[in-house]
Amino acid sequence: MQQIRIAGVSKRFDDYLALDRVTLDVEGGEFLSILGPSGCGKSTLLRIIAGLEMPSDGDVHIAGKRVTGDPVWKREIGFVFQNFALWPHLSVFRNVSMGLELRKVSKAEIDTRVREALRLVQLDALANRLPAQLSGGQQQRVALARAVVLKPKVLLLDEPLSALDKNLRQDMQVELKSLQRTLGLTSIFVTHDQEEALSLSDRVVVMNKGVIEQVGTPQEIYSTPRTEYVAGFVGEACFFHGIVEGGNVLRLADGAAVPLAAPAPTGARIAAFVRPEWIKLETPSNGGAPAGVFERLIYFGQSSDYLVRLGDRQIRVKHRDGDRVFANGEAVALNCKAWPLAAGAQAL
Amino acid sequence: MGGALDDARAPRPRDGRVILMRPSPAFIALRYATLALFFLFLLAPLGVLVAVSFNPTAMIFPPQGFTLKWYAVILDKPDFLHAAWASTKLAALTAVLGTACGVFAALGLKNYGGPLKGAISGLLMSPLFIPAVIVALALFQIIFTLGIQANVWVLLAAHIVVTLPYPVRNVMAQLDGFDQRLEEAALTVGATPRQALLRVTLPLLRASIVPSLVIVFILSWNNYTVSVFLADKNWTTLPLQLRAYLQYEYEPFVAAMSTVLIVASTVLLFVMDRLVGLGPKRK
Repeated sequence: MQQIRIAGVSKRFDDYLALDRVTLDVEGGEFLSILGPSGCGKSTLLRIIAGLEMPSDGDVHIAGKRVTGDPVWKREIGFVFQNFALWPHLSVFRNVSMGLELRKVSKAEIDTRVREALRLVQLDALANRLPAQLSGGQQQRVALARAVVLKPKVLLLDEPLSALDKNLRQDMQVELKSLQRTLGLTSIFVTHDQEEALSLSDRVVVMNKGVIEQVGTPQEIYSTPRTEYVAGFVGEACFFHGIVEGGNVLRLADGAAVPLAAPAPTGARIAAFVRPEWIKLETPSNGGAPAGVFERLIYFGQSSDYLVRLGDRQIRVKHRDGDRVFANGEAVALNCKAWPLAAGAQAL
Repeated sequence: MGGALDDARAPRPRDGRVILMRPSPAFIALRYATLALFFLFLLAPLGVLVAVSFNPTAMIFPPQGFTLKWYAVILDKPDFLHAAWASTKLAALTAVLGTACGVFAALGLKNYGGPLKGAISGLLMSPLFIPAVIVALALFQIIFTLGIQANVWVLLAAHIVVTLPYPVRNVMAQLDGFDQRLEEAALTVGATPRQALLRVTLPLLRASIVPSLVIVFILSWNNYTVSVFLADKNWTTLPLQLRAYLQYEYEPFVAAMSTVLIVASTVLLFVMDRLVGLGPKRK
């Protein structure tokens, strides 16, 4: 069953169109990420689902009920803000209990449920502290506990990890995911970090300029993006533009030929792309594969990249253990299968 | 940890503050001289007044003896005690009602984005720029024209009007840096806007509300210009009573009375500062 249904939602700020007829369904228990650069409309969409903004057009349904006109406080959502937005004058306990107090829940039940929520985020020992006395990670957990203690129909997270430093962020990713699984909460997670989106989500929505570019599993988004924008945003990509020959070969302007990973209509002008780890560098033969010049090896510690000059572009290729090391300036061939982007959509 | 990575030639305090250039001795001397002059002009006259209050004979400085009898005299003057009580009640009412008006005006202005915003906030601030005596005269003219007797409600309204800029400005300044998401967070856990106001916004605005209460109380307590036009006989405030007394008598009793007022104001400020911190916030 669809837990959240967004139907043709638009949002206009004066003469700026922040969202353009966005339609999206979220399944019950699903963890869905909305990924995009700042200003793409992802936070606006989340705020519209929460009721913190009203859509200019379209409808929002939560748990089978149309909530488009409902104010925030009637929507039964949990919301986690980017800066946590904890109330500085209230203790951790009171931050979490506020929602229950407002619902006139009995004192005994408030106590049980708040303790339970705090135990879930491992903060039961700090219930009497003020937010200012907590670390960033702890504040983040209070914000999570505050959102889940009400057993909301959906959990909405607005870049909740971006205020944390890198190590803490990775720990919190794991915790957030296991919390979501334990509670079976339908969650929408807004982020601009593609790794975060890919590693946490059941499905990823890539947004750009107020429209959804693609919706799919992390694997689909990464391996078979439909547009050049998605391909470039979710990972490193090298693009080839050319004309399809014989259904599965892309002829580039410089005469080189790239085999395609999926067939495309012969004669179409399309764009295709490869990821750095899909390419294998080889000594040139007369196979017609794109030829480049080896420039250098960049060492990162856990891995290395080759830098290869291809015409007037410099591209990265993942170095694998056991790969041959080339001399700087040596001619190389790029052995790879490129993935065609949606035919026609990316005409040259 | 990490100390070895720091550049040893550029020592820095651990909190990362930048050390400013050390000022020259002449500059430091000038700074202290300014400060000294400031206190001299501000406090010396008060010191003279306090000293005179201990003088057994007349309002003369330096005092020619030491007595506390003028302080005892205060208790023998029911007019003054009555006036002090009237002033207290008036100032307390002005503080509570004026600050409440100021809070709501500031909250309203924050949410109102219309074309009249500048005009409205300018209007609320205008008592700062228009001499209080003109406001009082205008009010006096109005009630005279309407044929209303001077009464405490008109006086209270006038006190609120002339002190209103202070709470409005205090609260607006705090709202300016107020994180809207704190209120939104309350809405997301099920609070109506009114509940969010009561449970989140107002408690957090305490930092500007309490100082507003104190400053309005003191301004109202001390006000002479407005009261002189609008107070009726039952509401002769302390400043009016002092002024009236001085027209006929000039003895150290007045100095003693003033000393009590100075001490009371100082204590009030001190206590409030301890309770909520009126000064600039230390981070």
